Amino acid sequence: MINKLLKVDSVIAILLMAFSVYVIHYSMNIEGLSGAIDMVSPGLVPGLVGVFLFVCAAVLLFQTVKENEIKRETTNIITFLSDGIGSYAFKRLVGIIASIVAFRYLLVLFGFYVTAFFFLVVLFLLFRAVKVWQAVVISLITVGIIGYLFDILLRVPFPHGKFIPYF
Amino acid sequence: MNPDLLAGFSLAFTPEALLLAFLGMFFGIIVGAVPGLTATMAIAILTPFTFSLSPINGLLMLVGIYIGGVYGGCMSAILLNIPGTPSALMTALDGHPMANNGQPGRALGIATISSALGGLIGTLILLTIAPFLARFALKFGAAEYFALCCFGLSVVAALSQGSLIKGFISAGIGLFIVSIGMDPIIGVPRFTYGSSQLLAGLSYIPIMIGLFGIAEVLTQLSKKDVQVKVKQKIGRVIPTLKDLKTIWKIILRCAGIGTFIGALPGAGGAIGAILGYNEAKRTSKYPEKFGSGVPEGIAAPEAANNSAVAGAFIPLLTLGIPGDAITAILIGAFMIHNLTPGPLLYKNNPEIIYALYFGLLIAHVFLIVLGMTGARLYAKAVTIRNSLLMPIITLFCIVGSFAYANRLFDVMVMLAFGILGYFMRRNKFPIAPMILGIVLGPIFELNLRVALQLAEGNVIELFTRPISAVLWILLVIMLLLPKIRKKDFQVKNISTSGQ
Repeated sequence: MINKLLKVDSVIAILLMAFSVYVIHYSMNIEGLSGAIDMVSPGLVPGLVGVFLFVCAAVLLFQTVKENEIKRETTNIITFLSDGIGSYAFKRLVGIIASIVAFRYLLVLFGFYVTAFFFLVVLFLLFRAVKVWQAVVISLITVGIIGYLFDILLRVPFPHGKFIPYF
Repeated sequence: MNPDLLAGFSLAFTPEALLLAFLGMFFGIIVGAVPGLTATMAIAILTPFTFSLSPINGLLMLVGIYIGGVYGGCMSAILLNIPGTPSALMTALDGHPMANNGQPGRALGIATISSALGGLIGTLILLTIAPFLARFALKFGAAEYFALCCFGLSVVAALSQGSLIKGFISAGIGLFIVSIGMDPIIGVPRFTYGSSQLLAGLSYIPIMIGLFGIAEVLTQLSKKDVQVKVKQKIGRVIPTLKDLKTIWKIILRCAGIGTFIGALPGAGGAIGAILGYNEAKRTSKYPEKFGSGVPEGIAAPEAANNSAVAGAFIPLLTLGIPGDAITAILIGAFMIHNLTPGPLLYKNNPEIIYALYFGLLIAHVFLIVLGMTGARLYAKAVTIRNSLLMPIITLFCIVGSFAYANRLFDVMVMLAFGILGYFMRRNKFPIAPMILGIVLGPIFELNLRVALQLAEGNVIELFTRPISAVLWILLVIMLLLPKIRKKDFQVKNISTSGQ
């Protein structure tokens, strides 16, 4: 039974049930102007969605626990985590996410062009797409094209950096 | 002559609009041709950039990408036996054998002409049916719209790949996401936790860029990057008269099937292509030859999947209800330009509707031109490694989500939904119902609350008004039909095995 509850789908279902209970509770406490302007509470739809999610999550949990081990492939959460976290793909995944977060914050300091150039070089290297010099050249060209296309032609106002105000 | 028709003509036939539709089509074909890139992703990323364009120019560019993206899938299906899009799955069955028999150009030519003619027929059906449907939809009140939203959401969840319950969970999460921010009637903040950024709610363009763009980038990380090569020499692409005589009837029939399937919420090009292929095989004099490279096997799915694009515009333009993920994103493109698809668009901005019709027609002419002349170029495009494209796509995702409202907060929203989308894909939760939940959520909530107010809290009235009652009955039938069929199939199987 514990094994079945440790399947990824079971864990998702349990987390979803907890989340939907929170949504229902929150919705019940939303104070509207009931009776005055709107007789239907603003918490009605989120509350209904919470109930709907709870029922669906319960059905998913029931299905996952009930189903035959051989019939469907459902990974155990411990295997899922240990295989996933240790893998090279996971490290690259974290690398990309970290690069995007870094991009968001460095953009304010160094502006679009400089940040985008370094961001692309890092991503090309993370994806092992090309050699370093090729990454530099392709990134320069790409940033130039994107800049011209969006900054100049489509007039998207890219942020300029605090340190390098002209880029 | 109808002045709105003339206004639509003059909007669609400007050099700028034609050029953007042409470029959109070209870009769409390349996106569709490269396995791993999808038209949905391209439209999600490029929608914010249409902000600086006029409404019709922006929409025609996106329509070009949509049609080109659906057609482009046949390139890699025929040349590499790897369908670039799910709707090109059936094209590979006969397209690749024909290419292997030394006739890749012939296969591409048949696919191009079938896609273009299928799309044109679909568009003609759209412009015949849509005005009547829009006029009928003007009779819809809040209760009917609420029923329609529930119908759309349920059908999409039921028809999406994988488990039904996961489809419903995905739709439910979508509905929850749009309840973040101020409520649409009296402006009470919900799930905002004091954040001023959350007060206006989460913009759904960054959400879609995350779900389709970043999630795809993260998914590609765990796949092996393979360099593929096109071995065949393309040769003559223009189809012969003999081929055209063989396929024209199939094109007509499958275009009808595709348009009907495309108009159903959640069905779309992939199902249309399967049904079209089966229909061609069923009615063929030589069904045993299907799978060995017969022209009808290429023409049928291509005519069906491209006509499904026009079909998908029927519920979008007449009811404001998206039929699939791409049309859901297109609603966002309409909204960027302060246009709300639905019956009122026919009433208030008929010139936009006519311009879109003209745009759809001209886009299919561009498809023939680009398909016939660019085959060799697309054959090169399908060999581009994904590892080269993904970093550039990531940058586009960031720029796109920022450009939508010039808020860095949206970049983080995009990233959060990219991670969510990645985990949903890994655990086989379909994304399309979530998108539908996000798009239909505000319509769902507004109409439910208005309908309840009008009915003075009487819930029964939501189900008993004539049009909504029909929609609810249809919903129940749609949900129960697969179960009944499955049971019927099991009973038949047991009885035949017993004999």
